[in-house]
Amino acid sequence: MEGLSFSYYRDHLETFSIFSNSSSSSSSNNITYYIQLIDQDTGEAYGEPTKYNNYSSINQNLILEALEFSYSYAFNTTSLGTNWTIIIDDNGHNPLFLNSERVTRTSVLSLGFSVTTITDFVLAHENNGDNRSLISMAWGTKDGGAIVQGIPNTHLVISNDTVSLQALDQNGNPNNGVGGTTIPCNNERFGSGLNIQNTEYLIHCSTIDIMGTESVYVVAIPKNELLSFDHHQQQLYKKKGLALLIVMIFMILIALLSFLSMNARNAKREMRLRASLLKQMEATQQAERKNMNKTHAFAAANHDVRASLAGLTALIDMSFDLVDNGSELETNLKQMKGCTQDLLGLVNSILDTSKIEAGKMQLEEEEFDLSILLEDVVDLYYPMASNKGVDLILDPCDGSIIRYSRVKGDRGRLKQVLCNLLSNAVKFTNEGHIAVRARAQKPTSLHNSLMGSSSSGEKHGGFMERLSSWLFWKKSSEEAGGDHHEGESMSDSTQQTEACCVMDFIFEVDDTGKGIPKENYKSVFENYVQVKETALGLGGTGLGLGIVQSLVRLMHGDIEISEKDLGEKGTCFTFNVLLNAYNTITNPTPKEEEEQQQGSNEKGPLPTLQTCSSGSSICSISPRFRIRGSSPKPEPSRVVMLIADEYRRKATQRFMESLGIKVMAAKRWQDLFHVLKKIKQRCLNSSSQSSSSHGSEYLSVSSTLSRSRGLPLSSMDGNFDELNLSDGLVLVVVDTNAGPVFELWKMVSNFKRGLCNPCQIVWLDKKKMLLKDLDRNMLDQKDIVLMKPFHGSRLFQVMRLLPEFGGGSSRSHNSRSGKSLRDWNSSSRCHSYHEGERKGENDGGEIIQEGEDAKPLSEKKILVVDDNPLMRMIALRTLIQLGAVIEQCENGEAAVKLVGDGLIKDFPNLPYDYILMDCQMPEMDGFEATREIRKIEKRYENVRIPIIALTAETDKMSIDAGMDFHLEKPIKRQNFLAAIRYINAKHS
Amino acid sequence: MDVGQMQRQWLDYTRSLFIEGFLDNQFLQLQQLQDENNPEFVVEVVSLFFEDSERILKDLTFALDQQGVDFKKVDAHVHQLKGSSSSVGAQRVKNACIAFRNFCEEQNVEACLRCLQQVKQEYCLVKNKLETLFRLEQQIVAAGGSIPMMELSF
Repeated sequence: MEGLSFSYYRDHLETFSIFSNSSSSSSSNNITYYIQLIDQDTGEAYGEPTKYNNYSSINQNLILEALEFSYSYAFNTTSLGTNWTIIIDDNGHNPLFLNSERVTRTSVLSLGFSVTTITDFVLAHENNGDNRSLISMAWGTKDGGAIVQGIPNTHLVISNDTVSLQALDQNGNPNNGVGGTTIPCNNERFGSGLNIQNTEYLIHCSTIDIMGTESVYVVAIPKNELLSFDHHQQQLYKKKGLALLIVMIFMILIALLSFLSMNARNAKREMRLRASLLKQMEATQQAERKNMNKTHAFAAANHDVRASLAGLTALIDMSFDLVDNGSELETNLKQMKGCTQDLLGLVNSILDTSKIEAGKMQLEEEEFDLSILLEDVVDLYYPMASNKGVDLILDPCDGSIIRYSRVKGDRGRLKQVLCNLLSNAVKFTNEGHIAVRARAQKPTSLHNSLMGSSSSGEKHGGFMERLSSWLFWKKSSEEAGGDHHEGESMSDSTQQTEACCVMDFIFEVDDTGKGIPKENYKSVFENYVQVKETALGLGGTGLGLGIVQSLVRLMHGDIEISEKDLGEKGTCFTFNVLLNAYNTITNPTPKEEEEQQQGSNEKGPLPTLQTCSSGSSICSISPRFRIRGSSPKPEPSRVVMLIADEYRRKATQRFMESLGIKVMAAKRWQDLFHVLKKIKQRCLNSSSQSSSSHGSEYLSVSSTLSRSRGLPLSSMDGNFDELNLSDGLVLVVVDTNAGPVFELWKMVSNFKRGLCNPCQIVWLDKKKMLLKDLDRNMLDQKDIVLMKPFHGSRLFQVMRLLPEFGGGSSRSHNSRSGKSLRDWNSSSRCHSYHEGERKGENDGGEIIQEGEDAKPLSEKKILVVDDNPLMRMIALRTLIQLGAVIEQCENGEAAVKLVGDGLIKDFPNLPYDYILMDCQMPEMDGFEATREIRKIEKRYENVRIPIIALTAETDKMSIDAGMDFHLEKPIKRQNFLAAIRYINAKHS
Repeated sequence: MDVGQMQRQWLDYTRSLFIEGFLDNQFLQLQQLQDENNPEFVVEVVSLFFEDSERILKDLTFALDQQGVDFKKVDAHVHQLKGSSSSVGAQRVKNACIAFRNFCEEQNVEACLRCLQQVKQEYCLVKNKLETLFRLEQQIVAAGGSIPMMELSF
């Protein structure tokens, strides 16, 4: 107790303990203090205690006072209570709140705070910490025990619940009357003011409980300072707010302005855009209008050009009549005609294009025979192709085209398509062959085939085109049908479909020419596109295929280039069209029409067939399907073929074999010998061992030959064994192109000589070699010579010779058909001579026809008998223009004499082909002369020169007198020709 | 007068001849028969016709002048004239001849004389017309032009 003390204190962040171990309390000077560091967490002392000698630095007085107080208080008051006091050290700084408590009799525990710490705390609580320097504070316990006079120049007295504050003057005397206030300590928000030394203070009093001791503190704040501060603050805030406001307004304004300006600009731009759009639209419309007008004008101009071209062609044709044969003018005219035709073709193609562009292309539906059309087209290009050494073949495929040959569609357009493709093929092919294949098949369904399911349909990208073509077609059908509605036309078409089955006709034009590069497969169908490398120097506008494609699509089909196998040359165009087909077998009437049509069709390019066939054979090809099915097979017949061109041989063979005919095809002319020999052998063997010397001879020859040449005949032998050649017809088809004509002829005639079977030889003689190399008489009368390509109707006609297809017994049929064909044969022969002499190198059919038109009487000798020189002159000119050779005499007597002399001179040949006889003549009139001539004719066998009477009256006397026809004076070209025709018809 | 104008005139004139019935289709046929081998064919034929007709007309006049007209002979002459006139297409002469022959059958001398006058008149007319036409043609050819083609249809 005495002098021993122990205390903790905090100095900044470290806690120290100070203790004294001397117990001598009386002599305070001797007391030794030690200082030791204290661990803040545990309270344990650590480190070495150091002797604390610096008395002066320790506030000894304070401690002492504290001790003193502690003693006095602790020991004097027994009751426990709040014993706070505030002690102030010597200098008046660092006042301490101090509380002491007696623990035991001898020891006291005291606890002290620094007042500043609490002040700081309170002020921090009271104020926000600003202007702390301005604020002064006074402290005191409530009971007035301890007071810290914190406010300068004031005296604070605390009593109970009020605090009285007395301002002091400079000398420390209370300034009576000037300052002094009493404030209740009730935590009021606003304190009262007090003037201390001319400074207005705001005084605020508040109670605070510090460790159970009711304390009071008074805060004084200089009023004006506060005000000024507030004012200043307010000013500041106001300024800031204003600035903010201004900025905001400014911003809003800017935003508004920019918005407005942007709006305005947008509006302006839109206006401008609209204006330009309007302008553009106007320009577009104008351009469209212009284009339309131009197209129309173009079409019209084209049309006019075509019209004048047609005029030119007609004029040239007329000029032909007036020009001498073989003169330079004629060749010029010929060239001119060629030019105009080229030009016409060009204009036509351009016109077609513009028509298609304008959407005005329409199909003209008509009934026609597809197989004849095909044959026409092929025959048309055949001479051109064969001039180039290329064979042009019409491959009948499976014969389906013939079955469905009666179709309804646009004949002209289809022909145009075929012609275009063929002319291209001929143009670009220099060797090999061109094959035209055609077949019909049932479309899987109308819809499907339209949408491109067919084999030739484009796999992609074609849909829209097809759709458009479909629409186009609908439109055109609508137009054609007049007031048909769309739906009706649809139902219409479907009805048609049911009535006369729509067939899908597939055509292929396959050549062995230069071919088209694969990358150009699509583009060749575009207008004005030509394959540059190949088309070089061959002309053309490149419009053809474009038109072809449009036309094909118009006919609900499509065209493409099918890919050939590797190593095969050339191009193969495949296209299909949908046409309404009629079954030819069921209805006999269309057949007759067909015949007529055939006749009229073949009048043009095929003069050979016109005279002889009389349209009997082609159409009756169709019934053979029926015959084959129903009747039991007659004797099987053989066909032996020797055809130079491989493709033609194979196609023909395939076709015949598909109809059940046994065909032997010889590849080379040497092979023919062996084939024929084999057949003959079989024949002879089967007909009861009548092996003649010929047979054995051939056998030996053949064996040596086959051994020496090693011919592969074994495959043919196999076929032979199953064949019973007892009585069948042997049909031998020999192409004179295939070998030396004379050798072939020898072979064939040898073959015929020993054969007991009926045998028919057909010569394919397109280059007239047969007639050149052989004498006319060497040929058997029964043999048939074909000048034209062996396909189409001619193929069928030849096949009709076979008993299987001719019907009836082979022999009677043979003689019948043989006769008809012989007529055909002879007439064709005669034509060919005619052709050869007159036309030279030209073997196009059309020109022959023209020639016939212009000079139908060429080489005919005509006697004109008339007394009147005027009449004679006119008759003469008329007949000379028709190409006839004229003799004239003045009266009947002279005429009779001329005829008689002529007959005597060279009888088998008639002196005149026709006699034109005037009736009223001096000396001997026409009737009498005629009677005389007829008398003379009777001396000879089978002679009757046609006599045409020329009369002014229409009396019947002429016929009685033995005239064949009578013409009214004056003679007219047409009438005379009609007379000739009449007489010819009567005689034949 | 340039060639084109002459050609037009020729055409108009020919047309008028057809429309007035002096000529018929036979004349066109004759024109067609004319070609470069026989460039003068029409003229030749027509002058033959002139000669022939003048001879016949003289004969006719003589025959009808006599006492006791030989109608058979007259008829034969008229027949000849009819034949030649129809051969050149002189239609009106031909028609007159037809009427003439009817009266010949009737043996009507007065009517025959009237007809003869008519035939003569028609003949003179057509002769004049044709001569004018040929003159025009000659002018055209002389001016270096060619005779335009007539359409066949009338």
